[in-house]
Amino acid sequence: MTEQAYLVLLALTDRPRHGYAIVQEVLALSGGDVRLGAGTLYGLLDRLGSAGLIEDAGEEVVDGRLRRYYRQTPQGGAAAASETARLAALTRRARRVLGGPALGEA
Amino acid sequence: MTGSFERSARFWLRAYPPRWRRKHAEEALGVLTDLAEPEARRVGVRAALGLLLAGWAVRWRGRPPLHRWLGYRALGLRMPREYREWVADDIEGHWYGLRQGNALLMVAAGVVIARSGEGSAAVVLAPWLSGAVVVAAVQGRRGREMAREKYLVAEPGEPLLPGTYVAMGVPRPRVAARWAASRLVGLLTVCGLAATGALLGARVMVGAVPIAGKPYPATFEVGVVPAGATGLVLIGAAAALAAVGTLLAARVRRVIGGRTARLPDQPDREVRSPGWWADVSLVAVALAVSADAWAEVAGRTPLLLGPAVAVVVALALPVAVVLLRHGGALGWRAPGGAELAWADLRWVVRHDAAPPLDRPVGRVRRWDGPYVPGQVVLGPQRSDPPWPPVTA
Repeated sequence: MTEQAYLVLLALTDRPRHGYAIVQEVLALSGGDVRLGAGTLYGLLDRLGSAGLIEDAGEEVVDGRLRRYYRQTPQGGAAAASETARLAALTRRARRVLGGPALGEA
Repeated sequence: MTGSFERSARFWLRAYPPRWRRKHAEEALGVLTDLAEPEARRVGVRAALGLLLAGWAVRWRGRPPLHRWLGYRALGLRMPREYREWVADDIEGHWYGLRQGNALLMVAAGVVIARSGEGSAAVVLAPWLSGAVVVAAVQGRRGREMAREKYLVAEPGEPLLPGTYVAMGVPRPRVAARWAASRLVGLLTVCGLAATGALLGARVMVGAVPIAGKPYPATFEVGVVPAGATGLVLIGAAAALAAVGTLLAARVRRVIGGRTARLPDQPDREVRSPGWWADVSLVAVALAVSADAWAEVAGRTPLLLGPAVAVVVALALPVAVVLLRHGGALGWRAPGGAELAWADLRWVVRHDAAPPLDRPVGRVRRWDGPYVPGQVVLGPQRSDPPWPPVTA
């Protein structure tokens, strides 16, 4: 799973969000590092959707703009959890390699 | 959101295939607007590039495998169900008539013949190119209708979702009388001028050639001979035919008024003007006839098509002019206020009777809802109208 796909999946963890809200949530989750464009966003949504990790959650019209909401599937939740565990294990190993408590584990 | 921003966004969204745009274009437009500066007049370069790459990635991921594509394109095999949306985009997309390939084959054949033969390449090519335009136009229209039936229609038992292709009754399409009459008069006028030029200026024609040493006219060969005054004689004949055509037109003018005043209302009919492709086809035909007339005047082709065209024009043009003027006097409206159909004028002229009521025709179209859970596509039933029912 790419970092961007992981971030989109995370952004849909707590509640369904529409496209622009996903972009903002990803920006916040990444500490301002990852600013998704519309093309990238829909590429990710397409791929996560066809992998069964996210699904449509209805649509509404706000200010004349159509907003379609997306939500995590149970499968998506499991994928996010296992990716998080993988990254956490990686981080632990990285800290060991780099000298442990100096990075703030203790 | 300014109108120019929306236009720009829609332009760049065209990188995505139509099946994607049907589903996502509106929300993507919203996201693009939210992401852009408040007063932006067009999509930024980075965003546009992103759309371009992502759109083509969707096209690439959604394409059928090569062997399926070849089977579909070259052999007319049906695709598996998962590629039906791809096929729908292909069939409903622009230039479907050209993608069929027959028009391009005609162009290729014309080029090969023009290169191998003698004489002016342009004159040899003109009918092939014109034919290719007409073939592309007809296949784009008729072929699309047939392709929907063959490749897109849902099978019995499939869930009936909005967007599913099913057979249904649609209003009978009819060509608008205004369009048909004006194009007919225009085409006949151009062809008539070309034919007159050919008859007046033709240098050679097909005729009897004496064989050396044998008695003539008891024995002869068919060959190319000087036209001489034949063209003038044919002009006279055409004028006589035009007189017959004028008499026909006068008869048409007498009967048409009473009949068109009592045309019935046609609830199951849709009158429309064909698109630009039909005009392009007509221009192609006119160019082909003109090219032949020019070849006859230049002496490259014996006088042959010119007289045939002259016969048709002399008989048909007066009637067509009467129909054009009569339709114009009616404001191109039937008594009920609906647009006048060319089929009505033709029926009145040929039968001197009121035209029958049009019935709906069975066509394969996208089902646009409403969605009912559990609803499936049914197969044909014995009690059906000529098209299968669409609901459970």
